[in-house]
Amino acid sequence: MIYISKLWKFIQGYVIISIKGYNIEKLINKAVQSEISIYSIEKNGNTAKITISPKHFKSFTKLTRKYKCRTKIVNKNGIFRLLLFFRFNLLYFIGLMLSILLVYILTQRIWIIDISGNSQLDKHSILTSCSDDGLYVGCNKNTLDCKKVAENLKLKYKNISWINISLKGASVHIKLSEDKLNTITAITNEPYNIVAAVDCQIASIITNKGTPQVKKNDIVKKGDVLISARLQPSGIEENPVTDIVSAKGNIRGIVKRTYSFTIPYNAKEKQYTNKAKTQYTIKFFNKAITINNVTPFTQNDKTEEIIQLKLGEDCPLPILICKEINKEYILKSVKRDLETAKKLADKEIIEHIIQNYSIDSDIISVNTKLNESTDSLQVSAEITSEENIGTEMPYEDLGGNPLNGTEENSNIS
Amino acid sequence: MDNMKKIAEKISNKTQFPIEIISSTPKIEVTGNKMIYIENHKGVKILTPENVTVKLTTGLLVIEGEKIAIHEIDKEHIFLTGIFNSFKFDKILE
Repeated sequence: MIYISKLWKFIQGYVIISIKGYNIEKLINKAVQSEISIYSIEKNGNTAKITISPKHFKSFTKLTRKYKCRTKIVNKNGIFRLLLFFRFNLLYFIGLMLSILLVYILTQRIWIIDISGNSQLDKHSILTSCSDDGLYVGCNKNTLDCKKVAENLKLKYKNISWINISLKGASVHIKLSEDKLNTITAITNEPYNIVAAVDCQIASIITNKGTPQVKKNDIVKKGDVLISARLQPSGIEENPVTDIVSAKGNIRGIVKRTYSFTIPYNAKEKQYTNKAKTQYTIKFFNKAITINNVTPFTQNDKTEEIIQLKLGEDCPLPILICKEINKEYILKSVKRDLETAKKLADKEIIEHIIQNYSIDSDIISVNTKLNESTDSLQVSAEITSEENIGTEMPYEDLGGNPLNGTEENSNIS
Repeated sequence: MDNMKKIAEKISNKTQFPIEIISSTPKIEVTGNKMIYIENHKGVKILTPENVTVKLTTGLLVIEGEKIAIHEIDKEHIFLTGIFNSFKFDKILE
């Protein structure tokens, strides 16, 4: 209600005046009786701030003189006053209109295409396919047919099992899921074996297609065939089976790896000097404008922050502000004790596991052996893990019969 | 005058017609502790950010609070805004 009355007052126009005197209450009562519309009265001491309509301004100032009050205009506002301002500031008005128009045009285009859920399909190839159907960065969102783009993508890539393209503001979100089981057969129809990728002990084997060649607790070497592509007919099949298939299955093995490294007691560590240089760059479409050119330090670390200008959550604009921070550091010699070296060794092992082991690997144990010397600590970590060890290898007919495999785990289809 | 008020009250009671329409009895509407709307007032007696005294036909209405301001005022009504702590009715001491 208050906002509606404020808007109405803005349309009508108003003058904010400051009154100083000792009979302000009487003045207000008199003004009310004289049908002078006054509002937003804030009094502090012997000064009051009153908002009044422009048509009653003259009669009100006459009343103030009568009640021995001093008046001072604080502000004038209203739609007519604004129009008057624009009449005398035509360039300002044109600039304002152009900026509104520019923002409107920019929000009518797609500036971000976000793809999620793809593991085997390349983002670039998806984007290329989308651009053929009219979805590209900078395209008009009003002419975009998300349903058609989704259908064409599904037709083109057979391994997409589900796809959803949603338009939110100036960004398009492509969410898809891939059919992992059919992926390989869609790409190639050639038969292949599943072989061991590393030397290990078999922890479990589940065969979906092919003939298993190993069983649980078997020790295999890298390159050994785990599931053969060659089928062994049991004789009870109604229809004749194809002899050679593309082997499929899940084989997990216990793998032992040794990771050795040395931690010197005397080393050089980075120490930041608290000196930093920041370079700002504005990117508009493909053009980059450097605002302040900064020469980096001889020894510095560079970090980059990118801020995309947005109109709300879903309306990004093609304007990026890149903030490049160069932090200076000096290399300082440090002497480590045994405890510090041990902590560093633990940290190094954890980082090695994070970087080199896949997410489906289970770390069973880590046995660390430390060998102290005068100037360094030699670390040897034996990491035992359970992981997927099967890898595809094109089938080669080497002759002979495949083994029967395990009874519990084999499942020939 | 008092007789007229009594007659108006009787009519209002009998006909269920709002009394503030047929006589100048003040009507006060309080919304939360931030807005007060007064109908049928007789003017403002005291106005400070902490205290507002409004003249009514029945006496005075003393409102206390913080940052009190008159949002709207005309012959018939006053709309006060601010943070109100209390209000009480006083009789005019002639």
